[in-house]
Amino acid sequence: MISEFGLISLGLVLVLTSLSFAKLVLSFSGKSLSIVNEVKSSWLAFFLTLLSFMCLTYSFIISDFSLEVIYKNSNSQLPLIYKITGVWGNHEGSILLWLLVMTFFGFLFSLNNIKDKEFKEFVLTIQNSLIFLVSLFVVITSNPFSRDFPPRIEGADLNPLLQDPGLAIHPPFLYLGYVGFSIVYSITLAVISNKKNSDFIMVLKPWIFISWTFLTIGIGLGSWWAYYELGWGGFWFWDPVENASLLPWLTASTLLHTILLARKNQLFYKWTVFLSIFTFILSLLGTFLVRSGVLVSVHAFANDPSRGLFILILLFIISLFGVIKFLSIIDIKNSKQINLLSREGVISINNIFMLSLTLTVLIGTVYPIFSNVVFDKKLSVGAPFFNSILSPIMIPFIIGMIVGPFIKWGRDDLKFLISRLKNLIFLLFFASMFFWYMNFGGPILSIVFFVLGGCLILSSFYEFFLLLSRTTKKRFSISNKGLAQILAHMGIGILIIGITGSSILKEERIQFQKIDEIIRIKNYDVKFLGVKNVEGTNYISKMGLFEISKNGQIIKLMQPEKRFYNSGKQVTTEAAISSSLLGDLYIALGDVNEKDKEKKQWTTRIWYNPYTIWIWISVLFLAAAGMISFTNTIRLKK
Amino acid sequence: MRILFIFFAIFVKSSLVLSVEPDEILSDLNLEKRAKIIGEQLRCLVCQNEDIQNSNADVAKDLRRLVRKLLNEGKTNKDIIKYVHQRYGDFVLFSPPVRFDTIALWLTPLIFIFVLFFIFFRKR
Amino acid sequence: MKYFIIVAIFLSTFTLFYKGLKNDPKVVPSNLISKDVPNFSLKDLNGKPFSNQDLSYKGIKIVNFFASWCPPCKIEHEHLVNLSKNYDVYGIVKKDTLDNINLWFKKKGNPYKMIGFDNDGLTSIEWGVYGLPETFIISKSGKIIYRHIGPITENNIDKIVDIIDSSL
Repeated sequence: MISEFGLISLGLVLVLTSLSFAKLVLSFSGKSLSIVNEVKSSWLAFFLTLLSFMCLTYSFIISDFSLEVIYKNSNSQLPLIYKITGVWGNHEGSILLWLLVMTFFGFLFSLNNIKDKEFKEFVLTIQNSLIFLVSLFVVITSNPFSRDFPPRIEGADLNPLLQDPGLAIHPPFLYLGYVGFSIVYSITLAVISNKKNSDFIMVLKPWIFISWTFLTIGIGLGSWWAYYELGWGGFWFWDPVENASLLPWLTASTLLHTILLARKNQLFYKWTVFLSIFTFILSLLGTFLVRSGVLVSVHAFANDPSRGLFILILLFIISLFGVIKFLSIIDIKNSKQINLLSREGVISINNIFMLSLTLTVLIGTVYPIFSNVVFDKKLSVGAPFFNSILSPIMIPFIIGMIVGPFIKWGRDDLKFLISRLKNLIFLLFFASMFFWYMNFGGPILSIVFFVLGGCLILSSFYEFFLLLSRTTKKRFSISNKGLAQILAHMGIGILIIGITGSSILKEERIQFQKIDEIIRIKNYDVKFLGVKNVEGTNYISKMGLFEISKNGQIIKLMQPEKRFYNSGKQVTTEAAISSSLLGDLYIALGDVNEKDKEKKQWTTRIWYNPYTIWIWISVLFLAAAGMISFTNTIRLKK
Repeated sequence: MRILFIFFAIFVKSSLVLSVEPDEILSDLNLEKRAKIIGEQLRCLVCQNEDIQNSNADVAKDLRRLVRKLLNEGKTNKDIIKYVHQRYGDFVLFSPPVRFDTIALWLTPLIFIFVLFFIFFRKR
Repeated sequence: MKYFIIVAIFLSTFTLFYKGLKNDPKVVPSNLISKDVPNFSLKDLNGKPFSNQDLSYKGIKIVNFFASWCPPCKIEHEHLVNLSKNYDVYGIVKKDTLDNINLWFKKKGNPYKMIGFDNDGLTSIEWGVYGLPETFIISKSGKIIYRHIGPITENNIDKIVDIIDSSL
């Protein structure tokens, strides 16, 4: 009964937003249709979708296995929290969440107090049209309320890898990010259509900042989850789905920089328009790549080419519309010459390298499809390719970030610049020597990136002190414009150090460890005490006990597990991680050594990952920067 | 086509990702290091986007053993990758070989950088 | 003009992805097509040798990689038995025991002229095998002309027979 309500609500959303879509289509030929109040429509669309989503959640909670999606992805023994998060642990539920977030952003925008009513209505017309297309997709190909006859009494279970708090909140944040750019798209297209320039950037900014922040957190959570859950300390694999989330993040990050100049410089204005449209197109492209079965990925949903075709058509319509609208402003004359040695110049460098990186990741991800269709050859593009192109692009890019904030607008003079930055240059020089010395003998790439990351952090600190000295105590507040940029760049520096340490300087010990045997790694003594059986809510676990000592002192006990889930005989490894600022001690338990007669030897894998925690800390810095920028733009409007 | 994969016997779910087993590790640490580097370049053909170094699949284990065997025979990294490439084709390599049909992959970013430099910095 | 270019780019990208949807990204084509049979040297049930020399005569040869622990191999077994009536079928057993295979043949019959035990998996690698079952068709001149992935079923046996016949 409840699930029927859910389906009906969804159907109502479809019918309601079809009016907006019709209005939009008719407006192409100049006809207008005003039977719909877009603001009220947005409210209704949101509440109806929320109702539908709550019906689905309720059905999951009561374990209504007559619904096909619940049968396939849930189980009565599942802890309540995972019955709830299981709602989006599958294709149908997650697309409904996508739709919910889209209606939510429409709703939020409609609450905005914008003087130009016509403009506001047009933005919502576009947003509601997007909602129409996505809800059409849901109802036709991905109905979460479809029933199976005869109704089953028990479900197959949620994939144990998804039975985890990190993975539970990763999709919602990610979707808030992806789908936030739908409203960015709608606003941009409304602006172009209405030929309104004045307020555009100010209206757009908060939505860009908040979506970027959510996307950053979403990606960070996914990476963190992979690190602690997959059992061997990797956090980024250049898997197509990860790349799909990285692409809009890269263009959005570029957008953060182009909007700084959009009001003063026509070239940056055009880039802002283009990137605002393109970021959402990349979000949709990501959805297509991930759910259609066109690429092989560890994150694969149950892939279905017929769904893939539908998403492809949606993607085609939405992006064609966006690009054609963009072409209508492409002829605006560009204003001034941009000098390389200027703030505009460094921002241009940022744009150039970030967009090149975006294109490279895009091409690398899609190339297997291209090669297959055009040359009839099957090939793979993976981590070695992406890693090899990443480094050369990052180096000039980071250098730009280090000196960029200090360069003057318009045109700067090299001699003058150097004399202004005398102190900073000395500081960076000595810091570089220091970092190089600390890593002496290490791989050359790690030295380069430690130096660059360290210099970026230092120059951000330097900038911070300059900022403090310029503002009097009374006027300094968190809303100070420079602060967000300082935090963000510092975050990137921290991220670089975290990634470099964790991947290049990782130490590994894999062995058959006997009971009471001690393995030495870094300056830790890891003593294996044995394995005991532990019962969990819906699994049985073999828990290993490891005693960790440093300098002869026992400092802690670590307990990695291997979990055997009752429902589907699936096994997961739960690694034990001990984090500190200097590095993580990471232990995973393997299998018992069958060849050892007494069964007292187990395969143990012990890693030391330097500076890993800096990666997660950097995400906090970036998110803080995003939130500060967001609140600044909101405050300014008042 | 999907039925093919219900049938195909060694299709492994990646949730068991662990990695190299202790009895596979070579006693010569330098060789083992090279084995790891090579392993990260080779794709586990039945997994979803993992390399042979970090997969539990049968074919991954066999390839790991082959790599170590060839290393013990004194082959270079390049030789070993070529050996596997000859038997499994491009799909097994995570970084495609540079050929006329893959050149676009490497060239496009380069061209793009030049084009963008032109767009931003050209004389007005 | 620019609209035309953009629409053209869009249409080609759309076609690209559309065609991509039809392909199964996981089926890997064999790199050994048109090449000679790889060198191998295995032992059969009785310890007697089975090597690539045994495949060097003129005539169509079918080489089938299988094991008793592989469920799809059970499905295709009857088709192999049928094929063996007209053609020479050879088997390479991947990682299995003598007892299991003896039992397997007892229950289901033995379509193979000769078999070899690939216990370390290295011969399978020589043939570019990555899963079971896989079946190779070798031409009269000793070149591999076709590799079939997955079990031989009534859906695809005709295609296989056609390929064999057209190379005669």
